[in-house]
Amino acid sequence: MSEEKTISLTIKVWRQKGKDARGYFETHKVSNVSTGSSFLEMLDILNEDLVAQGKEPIAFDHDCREGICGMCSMTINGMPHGPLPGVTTCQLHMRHFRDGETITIEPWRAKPFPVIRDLIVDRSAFDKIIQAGGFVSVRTGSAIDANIMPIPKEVADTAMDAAECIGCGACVAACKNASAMLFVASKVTQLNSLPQGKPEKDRRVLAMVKAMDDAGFGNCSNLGECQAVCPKGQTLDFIAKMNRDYAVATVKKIFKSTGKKKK
Amino acid sequence: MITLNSNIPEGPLAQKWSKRKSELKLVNPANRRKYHIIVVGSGLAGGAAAASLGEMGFNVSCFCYQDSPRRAHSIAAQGGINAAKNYQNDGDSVYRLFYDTVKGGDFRAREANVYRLAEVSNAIIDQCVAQGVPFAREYGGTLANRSFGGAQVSRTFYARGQTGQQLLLGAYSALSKQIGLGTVKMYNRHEMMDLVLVNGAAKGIVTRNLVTGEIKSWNADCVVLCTGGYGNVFYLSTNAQGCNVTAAYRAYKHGAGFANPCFTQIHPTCIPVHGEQQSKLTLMSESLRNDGRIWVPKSREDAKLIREGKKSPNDIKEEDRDYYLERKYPSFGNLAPRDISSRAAKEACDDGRGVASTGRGVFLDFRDAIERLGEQTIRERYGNLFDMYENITGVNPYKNPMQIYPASHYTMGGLWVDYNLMSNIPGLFVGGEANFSDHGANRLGASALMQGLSDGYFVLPATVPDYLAKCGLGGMPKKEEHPEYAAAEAAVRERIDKLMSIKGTHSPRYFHQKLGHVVWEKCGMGRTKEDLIEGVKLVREIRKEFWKDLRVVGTKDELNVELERASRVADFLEFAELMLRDAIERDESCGCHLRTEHQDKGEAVRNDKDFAHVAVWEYKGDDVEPELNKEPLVYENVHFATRSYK
Amino acid sequence: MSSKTCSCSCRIPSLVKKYLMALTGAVLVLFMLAHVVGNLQMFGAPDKINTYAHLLHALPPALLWGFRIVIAACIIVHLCLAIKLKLENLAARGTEDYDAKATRYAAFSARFMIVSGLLLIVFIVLHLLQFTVFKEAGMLAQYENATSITAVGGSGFFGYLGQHGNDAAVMKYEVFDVYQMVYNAFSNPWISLGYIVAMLLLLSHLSHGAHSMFQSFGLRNEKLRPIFRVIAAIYAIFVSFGLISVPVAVLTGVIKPNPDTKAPIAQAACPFTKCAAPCAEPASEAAPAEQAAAATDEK
Repeated sequence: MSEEKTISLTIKVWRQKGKDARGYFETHKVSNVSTGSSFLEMLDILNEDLVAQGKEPIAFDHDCREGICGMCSMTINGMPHGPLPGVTTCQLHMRHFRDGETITIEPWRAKPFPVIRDLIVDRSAFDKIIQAGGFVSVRTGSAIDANIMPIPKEVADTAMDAAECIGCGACVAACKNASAMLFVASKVTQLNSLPQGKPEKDRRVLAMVKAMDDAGFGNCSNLGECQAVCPKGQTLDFIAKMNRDYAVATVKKIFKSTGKKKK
Repeated sequence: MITLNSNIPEGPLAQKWSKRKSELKLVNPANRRKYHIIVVGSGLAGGAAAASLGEMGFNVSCFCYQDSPRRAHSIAAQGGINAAKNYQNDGDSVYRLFYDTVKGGDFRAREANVYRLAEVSNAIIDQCVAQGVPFAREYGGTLANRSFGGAQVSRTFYARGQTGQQLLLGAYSALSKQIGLGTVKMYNRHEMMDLVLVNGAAKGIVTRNLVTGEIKSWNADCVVLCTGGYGNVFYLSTNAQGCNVTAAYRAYKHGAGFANPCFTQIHPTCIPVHGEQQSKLTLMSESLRNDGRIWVPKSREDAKLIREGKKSPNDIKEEDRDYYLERKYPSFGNLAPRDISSRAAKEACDDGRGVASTGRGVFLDFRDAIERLGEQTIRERYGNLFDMYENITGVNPYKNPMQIYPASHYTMGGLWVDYNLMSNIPGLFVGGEANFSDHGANRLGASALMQGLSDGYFVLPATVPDYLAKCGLGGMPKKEEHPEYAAAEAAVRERIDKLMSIKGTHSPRYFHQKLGHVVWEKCGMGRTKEDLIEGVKLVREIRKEFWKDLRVVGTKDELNVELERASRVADFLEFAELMLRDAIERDESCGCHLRTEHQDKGEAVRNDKDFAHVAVWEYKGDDVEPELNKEPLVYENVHFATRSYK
Repeated sequence: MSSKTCSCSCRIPSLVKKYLMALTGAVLVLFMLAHVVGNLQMFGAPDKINTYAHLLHALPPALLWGFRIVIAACIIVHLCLAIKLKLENLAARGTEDYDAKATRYAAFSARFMIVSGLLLIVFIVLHLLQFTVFKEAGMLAQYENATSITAVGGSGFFGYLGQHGNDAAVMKYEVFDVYQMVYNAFSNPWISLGYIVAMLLLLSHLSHGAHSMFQSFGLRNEKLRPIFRVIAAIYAIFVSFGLISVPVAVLTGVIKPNPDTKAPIAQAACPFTKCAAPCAEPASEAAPAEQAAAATDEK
């Protein structure tokens, strides 16, 4: 391990009892934090302190603590997942903070992500978007042999790049418009790039964008903040691809044959 | 005494599964929606089972404690998934995959189950590719494979270092489709608190809504548990924070047999503990061992200086380094199986030659590989892992050797199930890591994903309808007609009230940490009878203290993370004793279970005469010793052999 | 199908709004390019811009008004959508905004779009009032200056339009003096200052808009993005500083008043709308040889 020391911090954290309760900031001191600890471990220490004083601990979402499940979600000093680019909160270590620093912690702020408690928000809007079209319709057991359909490495790599999205919602939290375009575009790019996803390409992009709009996310204005905070390096390229796919799908929909004449 | 009918079909090994499938009863498509299935857990096994059963037309309810089914901990698997496709033309076959898995499990797995696993492995790959899982590919467009975990063939399919994530997202997308179509109802942030039995059959569960605290029972025709492993009994493990034994343990308390709880896998390449504040251990992919060399200093003095930061590992001369794996296992060297390399690391550290500030760490050194292949090649191969290591430890692994130490990673033990994955409680199916079935005493790399998906996509969707067809329509008890549901709810409420009412001084985390320490020390990599007996005593003491001195702040009718943890820790505290007891009872060494009394020059010595069985524990009451039942393991096709990696 | 569909039919899909913003923006980007090229003619002889302005006004009314309507429509759609988007985006953030605000990447100009855009709308209204509406309505007497322009038949602008073939090779006409109007306006330092501020807003607005539209159409990737950014920056600087250069030149005396400026025009004298009729001051002094040469050129 690198040289480790302990630091003390002042934490200004958002507290909110429930969805409809009024939120407020609370300030706490936390000391003896090892710089080798993760940000969430720092919160664990603070929570243990709070519990020891009989106070309610700060509720926050977390699970795998290795940067892949996408559950941890907090805005640290105004930046989703904190000051270090390319990592989730659970992979942010305290050596990136100064002794005596004041840290402001807030939940993701977006209307489609209502606060459940303290730093925990409800991200089921993302699930709804996937339910609308983020899949390839294939029955279990009916698949063809995996090597029958060759897929160029470049295509597979692009799909993999896009598929790395962990659905944490940092893009929405960071976007000045609370838009979910990067999340949606990642899934659209993954599935629309692959030959398996082609048959449902148009309806997928139309349905997913509609679900996104219905959930009440904001509109994309190409600011690029989402890509800057994404812990998994998702890029605006995917949004560009979705813009293209949506345009094509819309035009196709307009000129689609209306089918047989009704008798 | 529970009846352990393994329910394995007659006939030759290779035909068993086909035979079983042709015998299984079917449910008329028009009637399927009238059957209600509860699936607990949304990982590879649970998500895939819920999606597939929903797609068939059954009425499925799926529960998970996370905020979305996409967060299940299957997502964290890195390495890959095995399949006997033989796309690399290196002589692989279903039989070979089967044999490797049985042998890797040190002959403590059920032959027929493992064969089925190997058999359906190919269909899993087909299924996942069709779903849009972006597996790595060759330039020609065909799927790429790598060799993994010491196998002699390249049979591991992978998606960068995120295979588990991609497979889980595949299952999640299939599940999402069914949720969108309404055949599956998803209940996020719901934790299963208990199982409901009606007339001896599993007919429902009780859940706590983690947001509102509401306790509710749910009725169904059958219950499928895919609730993962119990690695968090060690407190520090590579499991997610929320992983717990509660669902499985509650089933055990209702009479389901718990099989081989002492079989826990310790993964050799994790980042060492940095101190008391550590909440979780991070795994580094085993693939690092392909190019990294593992060593500790030959002398204790050097090790001490390194620990104190007075000497840099780079200053240790070649002749003063002990590449102990290469020394002990010349033919496998640094690629020796997980259990062996974990134990070797422990031995070196026990010998006082460990590094890292805690003395619990060994070096994984890329110096020679960088010299041989150049930094660029190493960066291409392991760049993301090196970045991850540097991010966590603050040390640049291109310049300094990595430090690693073993950590609890996977649990082979689990609820006992028959060939159809049904436990000894009728209607209670168990899939994935939560059951005991396929890995014996040690799991091979890239096999966990295979088992989860095999259970979820192919086995459960075939066997669950058979049970339902046998029950017939109208098998689902009505809640108002059966007092069992209300009683189960009341019992859960009572237990929660009890936890809330202790009002002691220590948080649940305190007890969990304490428990983990005992289990790791007494039932970790090397186990002795004395330690284990001592362990049982200590666990009982902690449990006593827990029920006297626990403090749960907040209230029960709201989101309360302390209460969630308290309830999970309460079950771990009971379960740990079962695990220790099983380790005492299994008086042999096999796979991951090393009883130090039974070894020959550091190698595990199996006792096939007395222990070629599954140890199935039966709950007898809170203060009554559990009863041990044995399912003998009969090997008709393979012969016992001693694992040798020398 | 079902009656349910109409419940949210007023909602335009977010991506359609995005395309419309980009499309209208693209039209305005092209328009601004033409506009700045026109304005830069202030640096030539007064004849130059006066001829150009006169030519534009002499376009067939359908074309002129068609063009004006398209531009106006683009501005209105762009404006209305921007306001709608802004309101939706504010709503999407929710009731509570961040206490600690930080930005890692998003450019100031990009976040400033709605402000720069709305201020530009105010400017555009004033600008049209000053230079188009009042002038055409004859409401501001001091602008109603006339000047004489020299039209060379058969070549240059007039020849290109091919309207005045051989009948007058070199002609002098009396037209409205745009040059002097611009000069007079920018001589007022307050007007110049306002104009310069507006053009800086335009710089900000275009530096995001001119490359963002490619992203909206999906015609961009990580490789092309820096290139588009540079092109957009060059474009934005060219347009805004091109326009700013005019008031600066007027104030610093680089552009001087039109020496030929005359009293108000009694009657609009247009050589193109009534080209058959003799103009107010035919170019009678033109040498016959030149006339012939010009005529030969034409062929």
